Amino acid sequence: MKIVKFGLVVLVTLGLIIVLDRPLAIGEKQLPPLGRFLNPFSGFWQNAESIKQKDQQLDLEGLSAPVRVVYDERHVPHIFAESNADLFRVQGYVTAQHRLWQMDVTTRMVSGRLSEVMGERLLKRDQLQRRRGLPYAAENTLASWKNHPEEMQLLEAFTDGVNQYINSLSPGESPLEFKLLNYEPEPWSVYKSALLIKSMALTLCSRENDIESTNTRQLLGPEVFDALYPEYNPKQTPIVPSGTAWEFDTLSTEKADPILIGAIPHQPYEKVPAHVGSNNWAVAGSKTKSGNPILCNDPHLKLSLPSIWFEVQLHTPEMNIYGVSLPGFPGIVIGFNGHISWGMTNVGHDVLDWYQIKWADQSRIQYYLDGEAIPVSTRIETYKLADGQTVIDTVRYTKWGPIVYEDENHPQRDMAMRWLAHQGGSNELRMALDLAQARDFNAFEAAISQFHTPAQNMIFASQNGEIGIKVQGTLPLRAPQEGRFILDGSNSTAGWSGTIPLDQNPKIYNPERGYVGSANQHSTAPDYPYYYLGNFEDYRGRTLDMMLDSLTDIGVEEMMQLQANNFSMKAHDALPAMLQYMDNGSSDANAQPYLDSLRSWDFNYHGHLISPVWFETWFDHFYTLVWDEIESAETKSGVTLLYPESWRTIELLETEPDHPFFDRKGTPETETAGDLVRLAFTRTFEELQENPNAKWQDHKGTHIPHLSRLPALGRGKLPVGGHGSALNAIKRDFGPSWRMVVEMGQPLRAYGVYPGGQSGNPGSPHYDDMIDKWVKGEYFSLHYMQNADEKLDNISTTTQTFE
Amino acid sequence: MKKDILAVGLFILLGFLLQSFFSLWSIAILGLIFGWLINRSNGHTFLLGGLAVFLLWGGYAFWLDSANAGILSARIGKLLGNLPPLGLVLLTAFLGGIVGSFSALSGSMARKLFL
Repeated sequence: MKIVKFGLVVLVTLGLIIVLDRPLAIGEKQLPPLGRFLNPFSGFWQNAESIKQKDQQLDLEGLSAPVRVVYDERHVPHIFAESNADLFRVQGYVTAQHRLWQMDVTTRMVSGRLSEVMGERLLKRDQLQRRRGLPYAAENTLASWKNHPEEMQLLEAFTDGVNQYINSLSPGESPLEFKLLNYEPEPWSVYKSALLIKSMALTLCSRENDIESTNTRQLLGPEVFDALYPEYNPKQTPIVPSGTAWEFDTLSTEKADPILIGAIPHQPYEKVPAHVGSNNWAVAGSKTKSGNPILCNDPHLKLSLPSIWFEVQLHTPEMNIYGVSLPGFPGIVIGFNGHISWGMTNVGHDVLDWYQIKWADQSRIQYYLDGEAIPVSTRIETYKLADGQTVIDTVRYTKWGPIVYEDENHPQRDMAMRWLAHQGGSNELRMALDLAQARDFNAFEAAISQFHTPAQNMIFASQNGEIGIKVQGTLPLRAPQEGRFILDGSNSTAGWSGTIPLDQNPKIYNPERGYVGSANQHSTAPDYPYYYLGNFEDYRGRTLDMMLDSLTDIGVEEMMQLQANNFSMKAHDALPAMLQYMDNGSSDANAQPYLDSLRSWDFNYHGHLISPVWFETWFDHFYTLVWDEIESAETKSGVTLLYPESWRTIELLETEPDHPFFDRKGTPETETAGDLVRLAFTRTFEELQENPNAKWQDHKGTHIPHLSRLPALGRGKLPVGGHGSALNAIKRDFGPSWRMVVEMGQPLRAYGVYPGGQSGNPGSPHYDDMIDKWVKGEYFSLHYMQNADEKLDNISTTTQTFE
Repeated sequence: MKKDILAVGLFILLGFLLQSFFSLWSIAILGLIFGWLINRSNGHTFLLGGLAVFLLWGGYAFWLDSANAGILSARIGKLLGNLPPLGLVLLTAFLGGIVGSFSALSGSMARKLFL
């Protein structure tokens, strides 16, 4: 009996230890092994870092001289090294120390390796990334980096720094998320840095509407299509103003008419969200109080914790740069060097086209090209799932690129994806190093010429008073309309035939108006000699130009206010045009006060206001009512169509209120714009009557999720205003990911803030410590140190010494 | 009583050292040896073994949490069903305590059975 009891107790003990060491599944929820996770010696408690930071001495192999890292009050590392190799080795170590899991998960996301650690439910997502050719693109990038041995050595030094940090970790010291998701860090590589660059390309330059446009043109006919989907908004103020003389010999793009392909049934598939955007501008000394140029930049990206950016200062005897880096790539992306400053916004040009493939055989091993059967090349993708299973998948590659979809019923099953970003060729690190040395616009232009994709509007200001902006990147040389619709993959001359010579890319330098800027709008007016298409923003750029035209005697405060400016040109254009039909008031007396407040609203999307909610809801209802024909055509035909842009909808409302599209198909009456505006208002009141006084900030519900999407690690509803069409483009979970203002005086003064914190550790006081200031539109002074011993006024610092 | 306090204190000290290098298993083995050596009734041993690891885990977690000003425990508490930080410390202590209790009981019963 005793022995049985003893056996039972031993079993319970063993059982406890085993159960506590296993991951738990409670319903859908996956929990880490509780014993491991709660064990204070190795579990999450070890990530509860002490809020009192201490100086550290660390051993790092491969250094030629000691490196000092001074952390300021926001935990920004200021790295002081004797050589580039030492500098980047330590940048790798320090970045990993703060952002290792983010680096791991971001590269897993791009390379389709999430299912390895999170299981089969992520396999589909992984496959899409691999079939889009992202690892292929990163391999091409790596191959082209290898042609530059000096930069390659520095990339390897960075990688080695990351790996020395990873190797220094005991299991208890792994970042929290590895413990939560129950897997171990793996070594970094230069290839992963390339993956990271490709993840930016995916975010920034993979948007297109080829299928929707093809279908819509086929169903509506070319005339209606051209009328509803004009490519250029006449109200637009392009980056390079209209009337600029283009002094170069234009390459020919003449071609036979493109072969148009019929409508394609199309289930919705995962598309890159349309939310990314950015602002940058630089004002000349002629417009500023101090006489120094001021440069501003705020890239709008997905809001996340850890933040997309890691702030850093990099100092050697030859360079001294400060700015934000991408965790996983050496150097900085946006920042300044003491003589010049630079920033970026995205160029919306379409660089991704789909080609219909004509197969030459049933097994789809050969396809026709100019009448000849050409074999596809294949690429085997292997997935090692978390449960030990291996999945093997073959991707066919044509002359154009990969056949992304293989599923029997997928409408794009027989289409190849051609994407400019599949190619390598950029030398990002060389650009960063040359920018660090640049003193004037010529040197700036030479430095950025080494960057090809994703194309960026690169802005510049210097201490010697210059300003400028260039559309930098490789852009396809297209015949008119080419790439707007699905292309014929059996014709080798289909699609872009080359690229626009880099020195013919649009740019402006020291214009008389005293400023340059961009907000993702068209690069040029239609007078630019090359055709291009893409996704361009229609409102922010106009606000920017309007404001900068009117401002004089500018100080940094005015520039900060402009970055936080909530004025929307969309509301400014649409609301008066809508209100003109409401002269008889609201049909429901209870809605009248809200209509009255809309009349006095100044088009600012301030968080505490009610009117933005009413306007947005009203405009959405109106938009839906106007384009009911397209919705019903979609339902009838079973294919996905393109909806007209909001600016075109507003333009029709303003100029052609009797346009046949304002008539609702399902009713006997012939409606005009006014009828739809009034009906939309009635529907707005119906929708909002339960909570008519909701503030814009509550309605919008801006939040910053953790990359794992665990709500406890994110930051919930934030009391912020802003709108996608306002310079302060804070949406639900997209927005200014870094706000920077640099005054190019002697010495230069710089200010910045981002919606997060320097540490990726949710157990760090620096995990989200900048969010509150970001919400308020406030900034931190950036400490641009001149040497490691410099004392910062009233600021306590800690130091890491690497030897 | 004195011996008990001494034994529990020794358990905590050795546990701290062992756990700094080894995983959960080490605490179970230590518990087993403790249960064998302390030579008390099964119930008594069960309580003392549990108390030792309860104090070790709970105390260490509490200390780390204080140094961190509760930043992380607030977030993890939310993640594990809205536990307050102190609740998370107690849950940690309790989990460790159970392992301590059962391993000590195993040791105690083994001694009575085999010696």
